[in-house]
Amino acid sequence: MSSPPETQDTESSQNQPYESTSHPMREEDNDDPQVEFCNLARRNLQRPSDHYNPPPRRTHIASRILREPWTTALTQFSKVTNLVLNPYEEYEGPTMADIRNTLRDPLGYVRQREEGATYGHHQMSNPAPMNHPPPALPPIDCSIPQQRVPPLTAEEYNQKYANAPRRVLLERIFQGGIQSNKLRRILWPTILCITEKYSLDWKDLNLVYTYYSNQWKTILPDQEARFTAYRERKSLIDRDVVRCDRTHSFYSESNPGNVEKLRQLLMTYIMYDFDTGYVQGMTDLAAPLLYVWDGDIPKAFWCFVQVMKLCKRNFEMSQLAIKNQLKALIKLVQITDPVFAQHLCSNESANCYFAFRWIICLFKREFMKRKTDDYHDCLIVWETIWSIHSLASLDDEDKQDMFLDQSLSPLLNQIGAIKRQYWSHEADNSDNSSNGIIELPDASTPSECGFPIIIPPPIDHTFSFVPKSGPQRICELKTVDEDVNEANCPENSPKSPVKTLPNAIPIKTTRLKLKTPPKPRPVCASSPRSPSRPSLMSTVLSPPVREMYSHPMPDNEFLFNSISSRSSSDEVKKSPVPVGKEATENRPLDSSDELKAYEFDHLADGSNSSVNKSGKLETLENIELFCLCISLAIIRRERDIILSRKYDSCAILKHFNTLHLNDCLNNILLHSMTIWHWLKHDGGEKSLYNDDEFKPSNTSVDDFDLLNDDDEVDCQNFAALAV
Amino acid sequence: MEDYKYLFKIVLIGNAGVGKTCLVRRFAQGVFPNVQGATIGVDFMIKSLMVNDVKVKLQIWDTAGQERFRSITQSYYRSAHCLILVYDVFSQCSFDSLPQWCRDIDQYAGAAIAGNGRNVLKVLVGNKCDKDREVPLHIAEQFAHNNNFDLFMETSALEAENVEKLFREIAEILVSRNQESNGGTMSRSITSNSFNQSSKPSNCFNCFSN
Repeated sequence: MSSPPETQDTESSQNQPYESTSHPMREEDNDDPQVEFCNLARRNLQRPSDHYNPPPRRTHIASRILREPWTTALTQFSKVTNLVLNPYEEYEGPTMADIRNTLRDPLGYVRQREEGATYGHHQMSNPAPMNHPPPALPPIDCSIPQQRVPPLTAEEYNQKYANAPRRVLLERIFQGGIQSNKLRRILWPTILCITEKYSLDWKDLNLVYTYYSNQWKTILPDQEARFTAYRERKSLIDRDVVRCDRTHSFYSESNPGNVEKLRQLLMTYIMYDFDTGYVQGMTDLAAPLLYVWDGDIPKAFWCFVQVMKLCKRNFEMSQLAIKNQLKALIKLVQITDPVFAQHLCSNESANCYFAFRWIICLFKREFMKRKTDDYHDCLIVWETIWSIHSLASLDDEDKQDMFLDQSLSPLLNQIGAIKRQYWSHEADNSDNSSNGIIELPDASTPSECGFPIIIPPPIDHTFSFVPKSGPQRICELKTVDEDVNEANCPENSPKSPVKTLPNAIPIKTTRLKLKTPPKPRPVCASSPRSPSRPSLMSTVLSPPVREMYSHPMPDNEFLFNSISSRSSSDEVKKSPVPVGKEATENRPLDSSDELKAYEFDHLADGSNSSVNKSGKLETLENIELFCLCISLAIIRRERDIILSRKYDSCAILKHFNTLHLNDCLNNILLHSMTIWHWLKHDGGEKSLYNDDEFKPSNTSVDDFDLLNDDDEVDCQNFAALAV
Repeated sequence: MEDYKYLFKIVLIGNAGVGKTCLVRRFAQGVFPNVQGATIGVDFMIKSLMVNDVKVKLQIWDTAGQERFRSITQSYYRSAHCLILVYDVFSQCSFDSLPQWCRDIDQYAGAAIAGNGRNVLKVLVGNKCDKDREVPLHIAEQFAHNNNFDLFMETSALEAENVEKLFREIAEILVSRNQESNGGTMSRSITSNSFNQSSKPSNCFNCFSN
């Protein structure tokens, strides 16, 4: 942040006029006096309808007492309490608000914010008088205080965690993140379940990466012209990588090579998971990974694959998962802060679309340090998210299998099988062993690594394709017939990651003959998923089959089957089992017609609100739930500003869009952990899935659980809830 | 300070990477952002203009372009006074997607702006006209004509070409439409009302309402 931490008190910082709220790094935002981001907010300052006080009652108190004696009595009592303890009008002023916020905030949340945070806003120039301080923020009733610790350093890791159990290490990272990129490169494979061990032999994974990457590198220009689905994905990537984080030194103008690497990573990913393809936001997720691996594409790629497994549902065509999360978010706000939920509702923000980018990009843009464009804070957030996912998987016995499947072990087992099979063939054809065979980057000699693979050389699409008249190489991976399909392959491009041995001559196809053609695996994004697929997938990864993979297989067919179904299997494993009508809705709608129909129906009944009154809240994945914890922590941090300035829907969106949170990283994460603990251990999750209808008078037992007897805030909270 | 007479909501749509955000920032801030990340979700900017001595406030919404996000972005442009459909003259692909966008417009923004009895103002914009073109001007003009666009223009956010003109013409059309339909006496509050009505508050869940 360019501006020093503010020393002014809460009241004055809250009094900043909205027009001056933009990030310091975007000076241009404020240079033009004609640009007014949200003057609409001013208009609403005088509008009494936006006031956060509960609306007047409609029924007589006597009838309510008869109907709900307990609720009504408590409500009335709490009103009296509020009058005594929270008379805003009588005790107006910053001092009172400070005391109140401090008292009501068991986490010291507001207090810490006042000390160090700057809100990412300019210093106010013309503070508007605040009519009312915002209602107090109800505390989260978390039974065990959470704590943040400094990021894990290499020394601490060596001393305490090098031989510690996986859970201990994950808990440590959950509480503090990791200090340096060097240590990240050691620990990420563990956090991301690439391996269960601390060290990892990347050779095999590099091999598979090369396998995938050659699939797109060998698509010829004329083939591409007939391959619309591929072309669309490629075009999107090309447009996005050149504008992703270019202010970061790693991707700056002086490092164009890294942008190209990012492009290669994403292109390979679309071959890995063509159905998901490329969706905007993936660049944001991939860029910091490549930075941490310092441009090592295969390693960054596998981390990206694992990250995408965690949040792939957010990128599905139907967008159902993300809408479900937004729906859960407003429900969480409603449970923990009814006053603010009411404000959001009455300002057309109950759809929580302002949190869309947070969830898609895993809060990356909010936690980027704009001045130095440092990924560090964002990575600590991610490490917290990833490790809570792994921890929760460890806790949940039902998810043990899922955890195993998320590691790349099954994939590597397949590689082992291929190696052995190749090796046996090698023995039969040892005279041809080096002909036309391309050595893989990290592979040693074939006899040592045991896995030579014939790969057509990549094509540099920037050069026109000229058929070569010399010895022809067999592009085995493109073979679609039993007979040899020969393709002319140009010389290797300089940026090819694979080296071509000289004197390439035709080789016998009997060695690598494919019974089943490796269909352009990615057939088309619009191909509907076959209903039989899930069952296939579940068998692919079931333990007996997994064992089978460790033995040589009769032919290569399984390689393509298993690899191509791998991504889908994750989806099946990760998705909650759909029931009834949801089963059809949960299935990603691929055909654009279907999608249109879906969207139309969805919009017709749910309109622009993601809170569908009739829609049930789907069970959230742990990682989704923790992302919601962070979202809720951010919302709770900003709610005072929004309430006191009575922002309308536009102003709320603008406020959240221009948020930069790098100065309050630990506060946000601490608060998120508290919310997480409350959700998981103090009944929060139960109340989240309870009572899908938001009925104000329906005060459930869970609402009472939120109350602390001696805290006046809770009474007020309860009052608002019950009115 | 409520010193404007009209508030118009303008929404930019079009394929990813055609320059929607750059157009908005060029107009609202007078800058061309060299390093503008992809828009995820929606954002908006506000700029005021004087049109025939009337102060007009334009609220310009910038949406994510990828098809996958349309179910989110559509909810924003359904209440628009004006939709600007942007394509990239350098990209035939972005032009080829226009029919699909037109269907979206008809489907989600076809309803008349409340009270005016007029359809939403449809504008077609070919951006990046500083580059070599893949889409010929006359083809685009023909397309705009055939699909009942009210206005067609080629712009360059990079060189600030036609950007100011584009939004000024839109503002003038919208103002004249409003003055016609209200005998020139339409006040801001009515405009604001129609704006608010178009995004229904009933979409919110009905907590605290009984």
